[in-house]
Amino acid sequence: MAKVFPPKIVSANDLMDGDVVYLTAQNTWSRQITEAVIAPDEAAAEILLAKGEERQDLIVGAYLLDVAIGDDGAPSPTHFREKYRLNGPSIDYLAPQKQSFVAQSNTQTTLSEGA
Amino acid sequence: MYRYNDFDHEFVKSRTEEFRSQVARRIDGSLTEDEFKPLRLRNGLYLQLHAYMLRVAVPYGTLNSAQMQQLAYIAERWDKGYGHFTTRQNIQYNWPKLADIPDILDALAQVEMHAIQTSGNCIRNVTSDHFAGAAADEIEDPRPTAELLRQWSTDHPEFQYLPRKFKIAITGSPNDRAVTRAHDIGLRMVRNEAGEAGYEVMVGGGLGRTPMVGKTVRDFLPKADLLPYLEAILQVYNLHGRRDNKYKARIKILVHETGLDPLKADIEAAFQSIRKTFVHPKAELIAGLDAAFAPPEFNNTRSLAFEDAQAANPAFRAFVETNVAEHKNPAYGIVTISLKPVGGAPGDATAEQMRLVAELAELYGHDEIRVSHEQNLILPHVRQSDIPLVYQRLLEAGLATANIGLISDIIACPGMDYCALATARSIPIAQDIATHFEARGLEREIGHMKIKISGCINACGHHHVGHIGILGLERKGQELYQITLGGDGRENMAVGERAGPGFSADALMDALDRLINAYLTVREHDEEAFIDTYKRLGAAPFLAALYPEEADDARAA
Ligand code: HEM
Ligand code: SF4
Repeated sequence: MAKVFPPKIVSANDLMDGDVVYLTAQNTWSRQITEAVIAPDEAAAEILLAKGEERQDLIVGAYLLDVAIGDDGAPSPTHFREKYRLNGPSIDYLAPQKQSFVAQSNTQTTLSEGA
Repeated sequence: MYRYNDFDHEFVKSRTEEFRSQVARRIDGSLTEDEFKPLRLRNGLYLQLHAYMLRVAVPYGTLNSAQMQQLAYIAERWDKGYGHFTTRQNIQYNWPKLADIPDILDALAQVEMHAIQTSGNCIRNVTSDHFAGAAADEIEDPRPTAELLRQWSTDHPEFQYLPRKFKIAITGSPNDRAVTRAHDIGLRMVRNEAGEAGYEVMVGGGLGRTPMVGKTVRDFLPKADLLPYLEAILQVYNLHGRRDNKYKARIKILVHETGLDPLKADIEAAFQSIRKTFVHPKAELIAGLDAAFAPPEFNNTRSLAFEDAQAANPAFRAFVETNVAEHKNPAYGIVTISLKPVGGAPGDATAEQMRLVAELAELYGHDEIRVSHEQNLILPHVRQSDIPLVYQRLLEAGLATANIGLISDIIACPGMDYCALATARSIPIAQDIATHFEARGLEREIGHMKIKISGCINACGHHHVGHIGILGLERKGQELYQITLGGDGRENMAVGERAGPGFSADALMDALDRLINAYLTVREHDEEAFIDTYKRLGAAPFLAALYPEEADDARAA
């Protein structure tokens, strides 16, 4: 049986802030995966990747990733690494900050702002 | 503390200026990423999964309070309000923006800090004992030597294009708290028969995909010979180290492939020729370094505040038990501030927390702070009678977790929550373990335990030297965790042995539970630490606990 080609999209990181971005049908980069253009077969995937690599002044490291197509036609990544990339760190990384902010206002420390 | 001289200031300034123009040229499109990447890495700037990451060197883990204030300021001004302290005694910012990096580097330079040589195939930030200058068991403060090594290696023309990265660690105590045997070069201060201080030199240690224990090439090297001798090691490595294969390029592979004795002979030969013409640093420079790290003026007046507070407050007593270590001055203590709140991300500190630590160091700690490779912060010099006050302030800021050396004092690398190389997550595993054993109320009963977790084979989380090591891998599209047992990062370093097939994240906690239960059953007495029980009994009882089905099969057969 011929191997089924999983549909693919192109992703990269934004040059300026590193945000995860996806290549759109308009040849722009979007932070919304729902706007990503989908390559149904290998030939289309190669063309998409080449397009993605054109704008080196906007992004870093374009590459192809496998997606599944939902009932609404939107792509979603199949590999867990891409899921974490899409959704951000899986941990509540800002949580301790809020907690210590409360503690700080209780103790009324006044400190210089650094230089 | 060492202060920059004019040369250091000028050097850091010119590097920042140079990088500012490189960033500008990347942004305006005149540099491609292929051209820019090696430049940014030379300046500590990585790209992770969701953002850039800036790695800032904390040479030999020493900071003063003005520097800590500045780290807090940077976290708030240009990042998301926190930073991550790492096993290399560095701090990493997880969310800086490319255009802001030059300003961040300027802000660092104002307090004599930078991100140079935190990446690339050069001699990296020299790491050291986090109790340096304070430990009761110390022969000499290793930091003057560490600073000498920093000056000698920074921008040294011969050492900019080594076959691979090169890491040096140094400890001034016979008890190794700096995992020196896991470094390309490890230095451990010892005394010879005449009572003189010198170094045991170890070469070829390393973790990563091929973990190796550093081998001793000199039992005793007089202090004065250190630089020419290290230069000899690097010369041999530069000449013979493999450049054909990145995975075989570390000096540990050279040691392994050449054999210890021939390599020792090569080093000695190179040393004999180098020493003839070696220009030693001037005596004033050495004296200046010794003066820069002279101990603070201790205040030896004592009160009973320390003892009284312990008698009155069991929580404080518990804190002292785990987080306060013996100082060489009997009126003082070394206070470790745990960055492992149960359920938190190991090594993370918020800007507010950094400011508080800076303030406490200024008020009660002779302005000194240390970062440990175990991802905690240390106030190395606190008068015992001030420790109750320090504790109170830490408590209010959520920084008084009394768990140093216990099962929740876990090292974890950033893993797949941040790192582009990761094969699995590591921080949530650390959080689950800490939360689980806290909930079972077992932490103190289990006692001394080092769990270390890496999110891929690179072993940034030191899992090979964890009493229990956990390595996150991928199998069939799922995160899989492999357990190693019996690793030890001290002077008698041992690489942990792989227990068997890995566990899914869901099955891991039950497996660890069985492992810990087995340990509590078979240990000789309450004080016998897991690692000692393991050394006494070997792996068998622990493997039986981890893989009960196999044990049953064996019994049936
Ligand atoms: C962007 C994030 C990181 C990248 C790309 C990275 C990359 C690597 C690589 C490729 C190795 C293997 C080197 C070898 O075996 O030759 C390594 C080892 C290591 N890294 Fe990292 N690392 C990262 C973050 C960290 C962090 C956060 C820490 C500290 C917590 C750290 C500390 C170490 C240590 C201690 C080793 C093993 C020691 C050795 O070099 O043998 N790294 N890292
Ligand atoms: S061990 Fe792997 S996952 Fe963890 S920080 Fe290092 S490179 Fe990243």
